[in-house]
Amino acid sequence: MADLFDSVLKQAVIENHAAEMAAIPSEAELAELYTFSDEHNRKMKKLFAADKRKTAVAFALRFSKTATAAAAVIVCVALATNPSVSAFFKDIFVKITSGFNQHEFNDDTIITIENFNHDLRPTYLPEGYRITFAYYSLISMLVEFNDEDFNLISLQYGLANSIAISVDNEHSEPHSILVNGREAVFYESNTEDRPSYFVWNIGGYGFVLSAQIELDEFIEIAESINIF
Amino acid sequence: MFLILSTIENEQERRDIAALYEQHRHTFLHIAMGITHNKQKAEDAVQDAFVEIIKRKDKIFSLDCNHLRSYLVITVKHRAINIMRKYEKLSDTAFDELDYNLESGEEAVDEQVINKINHERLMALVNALDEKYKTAVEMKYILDFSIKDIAARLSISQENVKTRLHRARAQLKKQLESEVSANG
Repeated sequence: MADLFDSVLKQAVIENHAAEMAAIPSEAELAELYTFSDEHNRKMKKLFAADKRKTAVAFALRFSKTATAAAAVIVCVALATNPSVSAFFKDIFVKITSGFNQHEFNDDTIITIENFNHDLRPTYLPEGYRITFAYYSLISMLVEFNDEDFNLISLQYGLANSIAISVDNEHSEPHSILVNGREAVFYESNTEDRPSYFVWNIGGYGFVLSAQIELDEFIEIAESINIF
Repeated sequence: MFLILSTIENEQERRDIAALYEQHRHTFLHIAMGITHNKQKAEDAVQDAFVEIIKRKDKIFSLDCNHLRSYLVITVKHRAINIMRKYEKLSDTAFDELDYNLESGEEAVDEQVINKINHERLMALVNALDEKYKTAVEMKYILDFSIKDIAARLSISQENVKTRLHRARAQLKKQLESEVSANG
């Protein structure tokens, strides 16, 4: 009897919902009745823009297993023929391709899957940002921070000797920066709607920050992440 | 290769969600206004709904066209209800769970009642359900969501979901039985 009532109820729910949906005026009719506030339109625009940036970050950041020794040699040879690039990235091997710079790290500290720390977080964030999303795999971590206007700061990190971090090089200019005395690479965005990137490694981890913030904010966030 | 391929798919999904919003945004506002009767609160409900929809975009595109539209509408309704409850400072989550723990097992509906159920009357009673119960019922019967999925989407415990479904069914059965009894 419970199953029979359930079937009857289900049918009633479905038909009632269908009747409700059919009773809704058309979008065209409703567009004549309602307008949205500028504030709402701004927030929805930011929401979709934040989602777009998240997709762009994922597209630009491809975590993969480290290249073979032969490929690493090829990369080093390529760097040797371009003194300015090899001078920039002493402990970070950079493979320059069309559209992306791929970074592989030379880190003295070896972190294994077993002792990978998924809880590395910055103790400094620009005002108004709070954590809104976190995703982890065995060898990597993605954490996102948003403010109330849906501006996004994305932090990804992984095992330094097991990942490669690729960054868009078509819409940014690379600069060598020091973070806690170690070399880092700052990719300054040269378009208004794209984020800048900040790549560095320390303590066995490779990191990348993505956001539309100033360089000093990137440095402060990076330096506030306590590995030890 | 995997990450490249998945992000291409995600880019397509993002465009579809933005397109969905543009195509139906006045409908969503209309749905929310029906609950909030306040434009600002209705806009907040639409924003909240799409924050949730974007978070679950990889799952919602597995729904067929009709279920997708239903899911979007139900999500907007749920967010509008949440806003009204926050505005009215109502908090009944703990109360729901307490009631579930106190009530014993569900009683079967009498066969005589089932045979005499007026279908249109049942639809009317479903329509008149408290919105928080109706949302859970719609997610279960229209979208075929599991208890776990409903709990995740409503941000309540699984026990609370069971309580709401139980109370909805109990309320409907009680009303039907009394009507059948009154009509003889």
